[in-house]
Amino acid sequence: MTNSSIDIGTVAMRTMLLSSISLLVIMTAIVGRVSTTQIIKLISMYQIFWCCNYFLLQYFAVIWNDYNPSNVNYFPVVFDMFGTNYVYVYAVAFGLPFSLSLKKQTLPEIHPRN
Amino acid sequence: MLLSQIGTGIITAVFVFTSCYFINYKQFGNNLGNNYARFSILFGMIGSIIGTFVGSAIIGNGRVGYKEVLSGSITGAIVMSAAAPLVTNIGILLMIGAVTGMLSGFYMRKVHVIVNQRTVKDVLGMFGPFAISAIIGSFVVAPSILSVYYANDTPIPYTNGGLGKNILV
Repeated sequence: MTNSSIDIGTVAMRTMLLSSISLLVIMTAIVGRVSTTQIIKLISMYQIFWCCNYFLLQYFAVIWNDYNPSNVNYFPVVFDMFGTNYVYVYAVAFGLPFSLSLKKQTLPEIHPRN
Repeated sequence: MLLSQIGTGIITAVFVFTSCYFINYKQFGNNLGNNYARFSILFGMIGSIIGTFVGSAIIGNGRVGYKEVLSGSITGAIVMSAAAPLVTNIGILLMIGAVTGMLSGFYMRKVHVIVNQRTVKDVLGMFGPFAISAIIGSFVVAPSILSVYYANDTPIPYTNGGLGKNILV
């Protein structure tokens, strides 16, 4: 983020793993119901919006909060340390409509899982 | 079969190693605060396991389902992660985890079957517990605990000792 060279460090690795976990949460709901093309489209859309959401939350938690005249700290809620908001809540917000809107391919009604 | 086992192992390893990244991520606080957060997560997981087992056994006529056993711990970790540095009371941690675990057990035992009755919406049955714990942890637990901090004018951990400004120490 600070220079143009590719940096593989703990921060970049953590960010990548966070997005992977978030995507895996969605995949638990839609695995077996989407084709390979749909998965590629989903991952592309998901990563773009995930990064937007990630940096937007950082902006609200750090920059906006520092320059906000009101005396309110949003850090533990907006950009929490363990990543509930930008991993799991975002996965729910993205994956719930996506999973509900998928109607093309379904597993058999009577399934050992059920 | 072998491929699925390898995939399961990789996914499990990703979760484990990423959790190590979470725990050792010290940019947002000092060592003492991180220790608090670790214990918050730990007791949230314990409460969630207890609650999940109890809820599943109550609904399932004394029998605990295998899915509840698998996902009982992760729901407690998710529900406590947003407010992990803010809570140090073990009873509150256990209670929050137990309530979330019971709801997750209820989902996996009853609601998951109803949701997948006509068309399968949640294939593995893990999305519901994730959703329940994330929404409760982010929109119920963290604002509630923060409101207590603001009401008592207590300094929030991971800050410079006051409410509001200069949040990154």
